[in-house]
Amino acid sequence: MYLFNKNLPTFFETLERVTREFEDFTNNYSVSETTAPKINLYRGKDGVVLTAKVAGVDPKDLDISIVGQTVTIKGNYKSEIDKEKASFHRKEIKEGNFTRTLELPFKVEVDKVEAEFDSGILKINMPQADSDKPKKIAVKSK
Amino acid sequence: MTNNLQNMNKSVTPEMTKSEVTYSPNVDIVETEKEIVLTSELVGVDEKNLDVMLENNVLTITGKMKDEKLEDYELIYSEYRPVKYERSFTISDEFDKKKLKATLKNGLLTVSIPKAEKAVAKKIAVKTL
Repeated sequence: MYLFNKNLPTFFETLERVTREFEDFTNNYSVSETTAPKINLYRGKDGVVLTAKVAGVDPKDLDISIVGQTVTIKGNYKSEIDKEKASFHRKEIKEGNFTRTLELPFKVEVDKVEAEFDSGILKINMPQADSDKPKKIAVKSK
Repeated sequence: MTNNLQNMNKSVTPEMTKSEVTYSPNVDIVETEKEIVLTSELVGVDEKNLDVMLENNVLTITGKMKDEKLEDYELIYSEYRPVKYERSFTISDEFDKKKLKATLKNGLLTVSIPKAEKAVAKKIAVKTL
């Protein structure tokens, strides 16, 4: 004689299911994930390096623009699947346009900006403009 | 309760026992008339750090994101970090696993497996008498 029906899911099974459903929910509906790529920012003595996770984007479709202190990355997650002929079993990878804008604490030397793309990671090296660098002022003594 | 604790080992997902941060990568699985195509998002993974394994009926994808350390640079803002990716899929006998093809491009891994000949739907002509 069992107090509980053995066929009922155990507490741990239920907990696992709820956790999984919650993860699915947050994966699918997190706004930052679908609209903007995740970035990392590194500071060096001459400027900053920005890296962004942009999987599945053709480097040709990436549009990087820098105006003063503002950097904007635009792109498009493209799907090569012919939707008319195929049926989806799972659809987790995002699609569509994205834009990410970032304000830097200094002006960028636009002519010296370099961008590279490797296995889904975009790396932009943005040196600080000379005109915006702190200048040492010599103090004259009398 | 004892029973629950014993079951715990079985029900807990294996990810929890890993020493590294392991992500289950996002996938699209699409079936067409002739094949099944699995696309997996493996950002920052190159060929050297990628493993596509097929053992019996289980396809396992593991990949490790390259470490991003830049010399003389300091990380000041971070939304992602290098992780390990791992995900497994069971593939039915309907597919010809020997003809599996895998390509990696722009951070996306595409695995395509054609349907086994016997599984491709055939149209049967009906004769009228």
